Amino acid sequence: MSGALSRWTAKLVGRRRLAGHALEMWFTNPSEVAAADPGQFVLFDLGEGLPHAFSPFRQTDARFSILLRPGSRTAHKLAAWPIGHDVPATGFLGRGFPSQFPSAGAVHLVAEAGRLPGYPMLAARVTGTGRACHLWMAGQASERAGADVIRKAGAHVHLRSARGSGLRAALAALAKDDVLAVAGPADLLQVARSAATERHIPCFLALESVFGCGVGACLGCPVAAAHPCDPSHPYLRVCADGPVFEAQEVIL
Amino acid sequence: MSGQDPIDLRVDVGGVVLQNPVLLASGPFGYGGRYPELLDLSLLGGVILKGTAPVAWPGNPPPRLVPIEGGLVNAIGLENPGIDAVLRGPVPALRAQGAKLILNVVGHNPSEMAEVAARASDCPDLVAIELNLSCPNVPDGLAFGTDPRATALAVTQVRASCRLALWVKLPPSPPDRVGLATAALEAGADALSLVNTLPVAAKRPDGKLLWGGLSGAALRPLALRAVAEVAAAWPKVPIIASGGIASAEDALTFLSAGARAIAIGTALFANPLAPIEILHHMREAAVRTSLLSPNRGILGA
Repeated sequence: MSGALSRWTAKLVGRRRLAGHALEMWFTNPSEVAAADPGQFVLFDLGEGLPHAFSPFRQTDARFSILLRPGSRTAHKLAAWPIGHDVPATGFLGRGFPSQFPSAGAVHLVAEAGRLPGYPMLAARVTGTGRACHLWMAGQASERAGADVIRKAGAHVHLRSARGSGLRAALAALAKDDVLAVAGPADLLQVARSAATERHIPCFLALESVFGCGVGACLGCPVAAAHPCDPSHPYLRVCADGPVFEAQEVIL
Repeated sequence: MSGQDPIDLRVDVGGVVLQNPVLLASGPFGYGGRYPELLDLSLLGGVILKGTAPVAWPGNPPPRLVPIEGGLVNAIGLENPGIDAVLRGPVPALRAQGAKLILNVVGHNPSEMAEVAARASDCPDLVAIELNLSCPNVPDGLAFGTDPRATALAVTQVRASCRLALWVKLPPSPPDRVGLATAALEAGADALSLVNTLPVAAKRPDGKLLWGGLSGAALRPLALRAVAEVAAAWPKVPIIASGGIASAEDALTFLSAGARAIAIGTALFANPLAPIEILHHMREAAVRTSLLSPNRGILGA
């Protein structure tokens, strides 16, 4: 987990259309806020009662971006913000991908339905250590936005269209000591977890949930723990114990 | 703190003197999580901790939250680690942050509630108990809080084992609201918390229904009515208002309707600093208006 938690006013400072009408939006964060780990999230108060969680896509000094898939009501709302718009933000929160993976092989990032939680940052981190990084991305054209950014971060990019085909291809390509990281709909995560368990593959899953507090207090985002310390305490919190979990930690 | 504060917002809630009338409601704050990193708890009137049972309760399976227009439906199911774990961990940790702590107490029956109240009474870090007679998210959770006789029975039993101030939390829409409040007060409640969440249903992402409790702005008018009705019937009884309070204007409206203190719940999610901002605006309003003292027990006596 990164450093101390902060609440600040994030200012919209840039916006860029990506392939498939996806939108990358850049916001400020105070320099004293610790850098986000890939897979962590920030909460935006959009004035809707509950905060919205966004996983930073890229980050530079005192700026970070989020990726908006076209079509959602939230994307529509944010896309209408003018440059200079301020939004109350809290972050960065949760547990992202580990800074060091447990084995020394290539890291395979699987992304479906436009989910790319911090993948450019993760790809840069992986390739920066001299390891190979592959992105297996599946979905319609609008869901494959961001691939170029991840390619520029040093990953080998493999695009597929059919649902589940990215994961299947990644599993077929895995070599000994390789690692899998998966983001996508719940059914994809379930398949990834089963395959990883069966084949003893180190695998990390980026879960999604509706968040209440986002800081591990309200217990509104449980996921069943595979090995609970106490049988009367069978859940982990997606917001605080995750949202990135080792596949063996959770039951989906 | 209040000793140096030129604006005295102290309130007496059932024998407990709070430095101001702004509390955190039981539930959204849980046992703290990382909130203390964002929120200076020592500035608040108090913190009402999550519902706590004699032993750990696992809570409901996911999903537990469904946001709706104007509010939130939750079905947490009172997940909690049990009184012993709470007294060992969060209570001393939050007390060390300067929070004045009230423990929300739950149980499957009055004996369990009394057991938790007795254990809590031995803890010097707690100043009061809030007895939860109205949770819509557990089987039979509402039973005690809708029938005046069952309410009286539960409060009587807890009162007998509780040496702290006893606040009783009631549901938002019982058949006889004033009758229920009267039963709780005559059985020994020192103050009333109005209101808990409202039993409703909402559509989950998978299309099934989530049966849970409604909180947030949509609950506010019902909570205000409950506070006003009970305050009219029992004008000297301290009432802690909760239900969609998200701004200083909301807070002052509830205080004007007869509440002695207000508790912030769901509003904490969107804005963790809401309680501090409300307190700040309340101080400004206190200077401008006759609400200089929301406290009719100390300053307004």
